[in-house]
Amino acid sequence: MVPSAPACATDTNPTNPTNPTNPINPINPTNLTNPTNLIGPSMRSDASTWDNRIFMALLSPADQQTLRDMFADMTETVTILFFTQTIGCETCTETKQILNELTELTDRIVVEEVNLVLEKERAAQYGIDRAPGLALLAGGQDTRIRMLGAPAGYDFMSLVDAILAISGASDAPLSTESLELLAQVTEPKSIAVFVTPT
Amino acid sequence: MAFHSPHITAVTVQATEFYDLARKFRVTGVPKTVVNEEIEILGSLPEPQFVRAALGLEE
Repeated sequence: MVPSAPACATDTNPTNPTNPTNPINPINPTNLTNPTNLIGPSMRSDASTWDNRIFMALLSPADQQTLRDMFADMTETVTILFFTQTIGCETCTETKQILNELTELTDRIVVEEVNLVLEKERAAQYGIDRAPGLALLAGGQDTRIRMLGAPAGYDFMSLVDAILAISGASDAPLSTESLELLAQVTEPKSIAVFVTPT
Repeated sequence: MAFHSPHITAVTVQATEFYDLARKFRVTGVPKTVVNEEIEILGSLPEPQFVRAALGLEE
């Protein structure tokens, strides 16, 4: 069992009013807290420059435990290929923090950073041409599930649901009719779903 | 759908981060689904209806 991380791993003053201990609270239908709070990394309000900003944990201890319980049923290791770049990616830092917090909850989730600029061939292999981009693998096999942009807000739950489905921790429930239709697909189809964090 | 079919790749795109893609596919609301840059579905649909629409089996 991974111990709960403090709400602010870099802030030793728990009374700091800018350091809320529970920035997110559990909700239905996913039993996770309000994912809209996962829009961006929480930062101390007194941060005056980017370098001085101190990122706090996005997931509350309660959310961490909820996710640990959900991830406990994973039977396959999920590898998240995180395509990132240093320059020109406003949400890569936020994405990295979200992914790091996930990996702290279970050994079944592994994050592998891939430099989008330096490893173009690998990015092309997964059809990723911008950052942040995620490609999900289960048991080392490509699941053909991708995410472009920070997995924040409700998209965070999309990421969690995908992890649970491809790892064997939950079903990906579709009707019999839909499964029959999908079984008849023989041509490549690329489905892009545009979303917003809220 | 990608989970159940080896021929399907699924990607979610944060429209607020990638304006160029949002403009290209005329995203005026979310969720908006685009299949093979041809089929467009604006809004959410019940699952069987969505699958049929995404596969081009109904308007």
